[in-house]
Amino acid sequence: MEEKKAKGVGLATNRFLTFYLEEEVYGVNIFDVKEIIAMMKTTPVPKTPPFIKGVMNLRGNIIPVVDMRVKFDMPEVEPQMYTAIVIITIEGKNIGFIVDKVEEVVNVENENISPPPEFGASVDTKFIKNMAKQKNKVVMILDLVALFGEEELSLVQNLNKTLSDKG
Amino acid sequence: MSLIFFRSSDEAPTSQHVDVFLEGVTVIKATLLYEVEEKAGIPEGYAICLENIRQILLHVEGKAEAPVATASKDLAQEFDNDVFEAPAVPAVDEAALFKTLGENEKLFKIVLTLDVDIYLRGFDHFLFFKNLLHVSRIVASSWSVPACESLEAFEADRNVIKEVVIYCASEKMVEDIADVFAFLEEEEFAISLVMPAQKKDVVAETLAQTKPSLEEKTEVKESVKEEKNKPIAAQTKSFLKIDSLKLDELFDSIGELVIAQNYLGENDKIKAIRDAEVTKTIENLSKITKLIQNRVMSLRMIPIRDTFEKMKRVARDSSKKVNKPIRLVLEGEETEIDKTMVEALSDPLIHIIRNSIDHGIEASPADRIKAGKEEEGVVTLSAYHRGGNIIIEVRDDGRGINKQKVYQKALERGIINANDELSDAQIYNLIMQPGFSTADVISDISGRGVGLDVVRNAIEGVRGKVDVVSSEGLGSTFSIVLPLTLAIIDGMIVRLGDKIFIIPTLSILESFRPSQENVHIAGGKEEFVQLRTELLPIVRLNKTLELGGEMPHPWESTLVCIENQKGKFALLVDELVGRQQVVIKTLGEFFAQTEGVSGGAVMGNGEVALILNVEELY
Repeated sequence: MEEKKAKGVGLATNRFLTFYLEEEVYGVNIFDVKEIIAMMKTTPVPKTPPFIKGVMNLRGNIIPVVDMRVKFDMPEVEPQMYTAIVIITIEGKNIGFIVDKVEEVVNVENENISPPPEFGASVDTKFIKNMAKQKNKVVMILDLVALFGEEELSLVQNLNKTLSDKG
Repeated sequence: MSLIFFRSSDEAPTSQHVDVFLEGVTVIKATLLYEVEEKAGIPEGYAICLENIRQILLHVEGKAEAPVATASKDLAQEFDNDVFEAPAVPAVDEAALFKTLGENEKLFKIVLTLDVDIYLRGFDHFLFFKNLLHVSRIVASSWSVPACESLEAFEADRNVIKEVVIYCASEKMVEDIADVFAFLEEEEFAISLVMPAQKKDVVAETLAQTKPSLEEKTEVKESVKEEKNKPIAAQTKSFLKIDSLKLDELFDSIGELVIAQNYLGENDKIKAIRDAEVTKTIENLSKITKLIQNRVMSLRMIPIRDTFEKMKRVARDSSKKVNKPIRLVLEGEETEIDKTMVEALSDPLIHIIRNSIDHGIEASPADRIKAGKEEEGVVTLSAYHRGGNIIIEVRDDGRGINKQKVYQKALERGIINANDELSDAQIYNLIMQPGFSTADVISDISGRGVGLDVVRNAIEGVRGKVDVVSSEGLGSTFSIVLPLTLAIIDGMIVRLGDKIFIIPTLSILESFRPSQENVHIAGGKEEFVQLRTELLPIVRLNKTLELGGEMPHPWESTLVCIENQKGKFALLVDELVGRQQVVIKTLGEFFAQTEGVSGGAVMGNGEVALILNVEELY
């Protein structure tokens, strides 16, 4: 894995897994992707933000699942044929992201990667790390830590705080 | 065989005889090697050696020898031709055999009484020996060979070996070994497990009396060529150190296996097959799966007893040092706890116990008597499960924590500000702040500034929590609350709407369906239920967890009476589904501390059910 990564950098290319949400194409760094699985049943966890779909069983491990549509304020839809869960490893933890359709793995040259626009996307730009031009499409590369980390980490911190207050 | 003769007779073997025996050993080794390498034929020297042995036999028994066997003759024939007067099966010293057993190995005695037509049926003894080697290690065998008939009467396709007794060591069950002989008629073989206590009369020819290596191999030669030439050294109990991460992985895989197995067992399509074979196989699979699951689970969990026992010594030493009579009471030693936690627990426990003895218990027995307590200070160490946690308490019946003193000290040391408003609990917890010490005199065992903050850090390191409760004059209690990272709990599965939750059975007192007249509503909102003489508040699970959904009348649903630290309450759920052992898994760091939920468990259908934290429900 590490080797591959080094190689990828050396060729000045970046590899992304692209997926669809509504009509928009998003990408995540392929090295953060653990696996892609078909949509499966999740168990909702009470008192969590609505974008947290719940938890699921990934071969014996319980991992949280985020509904990307809800996170990005898109209307929630029933799972379709192509609905998939992309399992992503953030800081050693696995998190599942529900996406409409997984597209492909693309190589993007460095010169085709640009900083995110100030506006224009239907998504809060703080979640977008880069824009990548690929053929005639523009792929929005997501910043996973900002996407899931920030809000959740503060949630965890708050909970810890309330707990220590109680104790 | 000649060895047996020498063992059973008074005649001393000459050096010539010994040479023959040793040569015999060499030949057997060579033969075995041939066997192992699957070479055809018999090593050179085999025939000569055989002849030599035969000569000795001839010499000692003074009998006419049957025609010399040629090297190409098969072993069975060799036996038939051997002159050997052993009317009964030579007894084998079973006790000696036990010494050769490895860990977990059991000794089996197999008696083969094969019919004369056995060769015609396509079997021979060696086939069974060979198969037997797949499931066990043959340690000894003895053959009952009748006196030789005349060569004319000998028929190569007739079995004359009446009885063969085989001793073999195996970790397997009797059934597994019996499988080897599945082709035989029931009366032709008997397998029994030999118990260590069972000692037969030791006949002159015991296995233990001669040099084991020589004897062992000679025995082998006389009985079976198949026996592998492996050293049978007494195996000592051995332990393996395994990375706990590997165990976790194994555990996850087992979880998957259980789920897959449940899926098989509950699949309607498979059920529709209605075939006895299939059903049997699935049942077997389920049995094995459960066995594996239990074993793997038990790998990580160890009773806290050992750690507690260690504390006896700590308490004894400390009590001697500070010159206070102390009695250490242990409770709940059988509580099982994750291995990693046990390791992390030891030091903090020592620290707390020393602290309790040094600071907690009154300075002298006279002080205790003055306070109306018995002379001996009592420190109680207890462990139990509560609310999905393991709680370990160190309780002393000493003087308790002087709140005022703690507060003053904390002020002096700048840990708190004068205008801080602190609750009792917060004051007590001050003693676990770094640099805190109220001891006026530094003693040998505590008060050296390496304070209870070390304890707190260590416990927090395993995601636990330390709490102090104290009442002045009566004593203090340190509670270590540890999460169950990998603990198994007995869970009650309840249904609420279309959702399934698990309540730890330990915290459930009972469940009931109230009658309408026992339900009371206070202030138009708060619901109570009368259970015998008690009035319990009704907690609606869907309301507490903000799930929404219907609000059925309590008398139309099920109330589960639960006790937590704060008291009893009745939890309203739709119905009880069943009871099951579940493995607690955290929901991951992202919502490790979700209120009302202590973790999740993977159910039989592969879905995740949430385990309720009863402490936080009410």
